[in-house]
Amino acid sequence: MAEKLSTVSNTDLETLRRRQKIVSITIKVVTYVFLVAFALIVLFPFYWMIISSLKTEEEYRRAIPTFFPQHIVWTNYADAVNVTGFWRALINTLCVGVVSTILSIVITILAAYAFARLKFKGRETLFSILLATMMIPGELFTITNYATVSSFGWLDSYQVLVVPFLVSVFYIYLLRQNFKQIPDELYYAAKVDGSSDLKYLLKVMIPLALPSIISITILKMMGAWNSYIWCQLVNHNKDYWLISVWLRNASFTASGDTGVSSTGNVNYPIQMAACTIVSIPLFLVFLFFRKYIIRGVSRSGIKG
Amino acid sequence: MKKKSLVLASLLLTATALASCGKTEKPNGGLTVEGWNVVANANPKDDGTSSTGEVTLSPTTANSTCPTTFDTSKQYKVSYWSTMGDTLKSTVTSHLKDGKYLPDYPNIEVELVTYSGYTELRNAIVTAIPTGGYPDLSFCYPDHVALYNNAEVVTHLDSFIQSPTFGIDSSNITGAFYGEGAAFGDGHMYALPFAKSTEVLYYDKDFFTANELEIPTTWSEMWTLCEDILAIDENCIPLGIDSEANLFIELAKQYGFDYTNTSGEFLFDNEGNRSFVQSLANMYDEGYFTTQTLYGTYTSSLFSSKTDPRCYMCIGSTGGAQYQYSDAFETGIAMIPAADGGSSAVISQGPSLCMFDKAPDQELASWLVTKFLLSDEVQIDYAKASGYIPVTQSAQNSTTYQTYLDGRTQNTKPGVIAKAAYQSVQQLPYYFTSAAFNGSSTARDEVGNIIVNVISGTKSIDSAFKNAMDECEYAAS
Amino acid sequence: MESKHQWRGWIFLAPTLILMAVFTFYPFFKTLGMAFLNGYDPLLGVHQKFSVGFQNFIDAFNYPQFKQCLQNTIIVTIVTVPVSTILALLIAVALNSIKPFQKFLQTIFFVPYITNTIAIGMVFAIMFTMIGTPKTVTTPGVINSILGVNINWINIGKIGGSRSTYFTKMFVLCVYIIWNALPFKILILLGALQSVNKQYYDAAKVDCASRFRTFMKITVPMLSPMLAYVLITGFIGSFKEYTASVAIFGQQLNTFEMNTVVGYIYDQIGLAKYGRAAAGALILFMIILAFTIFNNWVSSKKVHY
Repeated sequence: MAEKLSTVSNTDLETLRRRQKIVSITIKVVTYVFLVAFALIVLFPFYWMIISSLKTEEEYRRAIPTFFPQHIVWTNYADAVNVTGFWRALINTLCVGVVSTILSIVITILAAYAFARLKFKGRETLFSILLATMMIPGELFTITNYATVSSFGWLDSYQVLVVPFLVSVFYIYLLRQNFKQIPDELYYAAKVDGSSDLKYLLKVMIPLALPSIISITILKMMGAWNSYIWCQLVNHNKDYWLISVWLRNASFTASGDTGVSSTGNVNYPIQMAACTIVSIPLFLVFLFFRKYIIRGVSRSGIKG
Repeated sequence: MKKKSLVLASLLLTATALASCGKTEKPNGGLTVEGWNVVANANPKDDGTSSTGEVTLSPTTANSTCPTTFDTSKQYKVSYWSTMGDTLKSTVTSHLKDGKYLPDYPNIEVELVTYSGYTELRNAIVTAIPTGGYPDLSFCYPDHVALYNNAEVVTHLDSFIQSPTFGIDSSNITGAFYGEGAAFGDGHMYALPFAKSTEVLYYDKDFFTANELEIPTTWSEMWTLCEDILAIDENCIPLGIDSEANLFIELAKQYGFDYTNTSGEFLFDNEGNRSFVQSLANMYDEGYFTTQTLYGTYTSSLFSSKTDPRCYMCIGSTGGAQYQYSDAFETGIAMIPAADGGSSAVISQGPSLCMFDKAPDQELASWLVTKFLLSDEVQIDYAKASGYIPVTQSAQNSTTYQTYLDGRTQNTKPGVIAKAAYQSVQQLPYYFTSAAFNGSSTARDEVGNIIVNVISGTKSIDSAFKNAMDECEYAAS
Repeated sequence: MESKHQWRGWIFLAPTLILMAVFTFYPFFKTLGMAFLNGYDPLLGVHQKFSVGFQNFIDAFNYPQFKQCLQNTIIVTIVTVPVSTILALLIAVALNSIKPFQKFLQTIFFVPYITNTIAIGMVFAIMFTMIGTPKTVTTPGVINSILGVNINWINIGKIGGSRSTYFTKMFVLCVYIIWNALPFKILILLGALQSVNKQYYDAAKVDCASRFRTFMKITVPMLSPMLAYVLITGFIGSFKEYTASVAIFGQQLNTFEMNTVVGYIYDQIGLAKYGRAAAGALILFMIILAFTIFNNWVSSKKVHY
């Protein structure tokens, strides 16, 4: 190879370089075109959702769709939030999300700490068993859990949305790894200082693992916001619906005359306004906590 | 390494699980496992007959009878599950003291729990039964009662109805409706009607007048009319049909083809039914009609719609009359078409009330709530708000209700509701119900699916009928 | 450690273990038990005893609806997992090779991850929905307009003379699932690419290896642990697919022939046929377990660490 290079003349090298440059520019262009095209495809549903939510019913229904609303109709949003049950479902979702996230974080931190730092017999076995449960599809639990919660009298309640999902083995695992990275020396130093485990946990471990805890908090909140199947199964009473269940079951009628059990022609712009409303909080969270979300999600990959 | 131990651990879990199923060797040698759920407050009412295998509706011998006295000093709470929407709920609560207590028995508190639909209500009760969390009183359809009765938790109403102290005059309830509650093969009353509706044909009266169209009385007249309407407005779907299941059952009844019978057999797979399903598919291809599932929304919305496509006629429940009102035209209401040269028949629908097994005094409290729900004031107000008709003669004939029916001449929302109610009273002689048994609701769902599957072209006639029969047998097995 | 500290661990773990005992371990065993009680039904369970056997599994496999659900689930899996993985790989490689706008495009490709499945599924539904009568079309839907065709994708009735088919419905479902699955895979693969040692590429450059060769000989092997990871999570995820289908087609999935195994389980729970639900869940578990074991076996042989 080196020998070959030494034998080519300068002009040949020049053409080769030029050709390489052309090739690399072409590849760059193709790469960008490919990426931009895909980015547009990926974004299109959002775009369509938002512009549809701003159209009049008449404009939406046109045979040739308009790609920007001719008259922007904000009232679709007012109509969407006026559909029966919206506010209740929104408040339910926020409350359930906050409560279950807080409890879940506390439980996760305690368990992760125990697995990372405290020594007791059978710790590793227990941890393996917990990890093994991650492979079992949740539906296997759902059947019995449904019977269990109904025997607790929890159908149509808030606790049924919170309690069964407080433990997440995955988050325990994630946080345990994080705790483990904190050097042992700190622990023994604290022990010498006479700190209790709880104090050490609060003063040292949690602050050091805070980024992970924030990631878990956000992912848990997003999970609560998006949860659908379980709520649809256990809460038939619409007073206890979460926002996704409301969205899927609500009827968006032409007149904005309302109610889940009512009939009426689907008014697509109002429906899209509702979809937008449900999507916006997620975008906002993403905007502000992008780093933590990506960190949390990708962590799940690296340590898989 | 870690992954391997994961797999191992889960395999271990499986193995221990299989080993730990609580098996018990029965003295007679058969290997059985104890019923998995134990009812918290199960009444011991084994009547001595073996209960393995068969699903029977055998009457329970220890079903409680109506007490003769009621302790008005004790506080009672009656949970009452229904599908009433907010408007109807407030109609009922407006008659309760402080929105909660029975006017005549303020020691009884009524706790209203609302479900979004009958299926949801049924599922909620079914899952609540094994754990004892079922309500005291509930909306029901006859087939729900048949289902709940598998667990023998539905109270016999006979002794309550006949009670000299707390009873009601059963002859006051319209006979056809009253009979439904006793149609379970053992002569006992399990349910009382609460409100009734039927199907009617709604039509755009202005459009009919302007184009000099006649209201169709038979199905062949209907299809000719649809052709004429399409000739006038090619962007419409002339007829919207809200319920495919009702359409199937009504056509079978009108033409005299078998559907199901009281002994719980599924008889709907026959030549007659196949032929009308085929002709419906042909009519759909001509663009004459659409249905709720096929269109994806209640067709009443197409009827009142101001955007294309719209319907000029709609076959729907009188319970949904309010959605058939439009400020753009006058809504006319007529009877649904009859079989060509055959008979008229319209399905009778609407919720009944059933009570669940509890302590005798608690059951009496539930009964007093039932009585309250059947009182003229509640019946009339409920009917006025919903378009359902009252089930008692006294309410139907009351001046208040008659005055209300007189309002049908106005083309307003209440006017259309009154008109629908009036029409349903008029066609009372043609009401019919199909047999109720455990599995009859599946049959109902499945015949609806036949129509949808064949018309949409998803399945051939053969496979649609076969599939429906399979489903019914699967659900009943 | 000293025995006096033993109890601390258990106290810290108490909430986790109690909750898991009730909502994970107990249900696991009980569901297994129910699956093997012939025709187990809680309503009948009040008065009846059930014999042990495989009836629930036999019923499931004799039941057309279940076969349909299983078929749909398998098709969704074998279509969406490879397609989304390949697409994600291409996008990740492309993203890795550019400098300007890399962060920006990376963010855009992540956006579908932070969506509500129901909400965006409903958006996909309206993009493919046609409005009209069996004979005429009022609104063809934006996808039809862009493609300049009149295809009835997902409506169950006939519109403008066109009917949706199993293929068109499945196509829309798969497109949505792929769209949904991309961000996670891109994120993981891009992360892996960025951590690949640059020296390998430099060596390849010196060797004048073609880009394709470099990709196949260096990139793919280096990525193989992460590729294996996205494949396995993809398989498991798509076997549990249900919400996406509900989001597009609504709750009458059987009518649309678009139900999945998880949907079957929920249907059976709703009908209080717990035995059948449990059998369905166990079948799902076995499939996932088999995939995991198979994947571990393959990766232990092929994956280049």
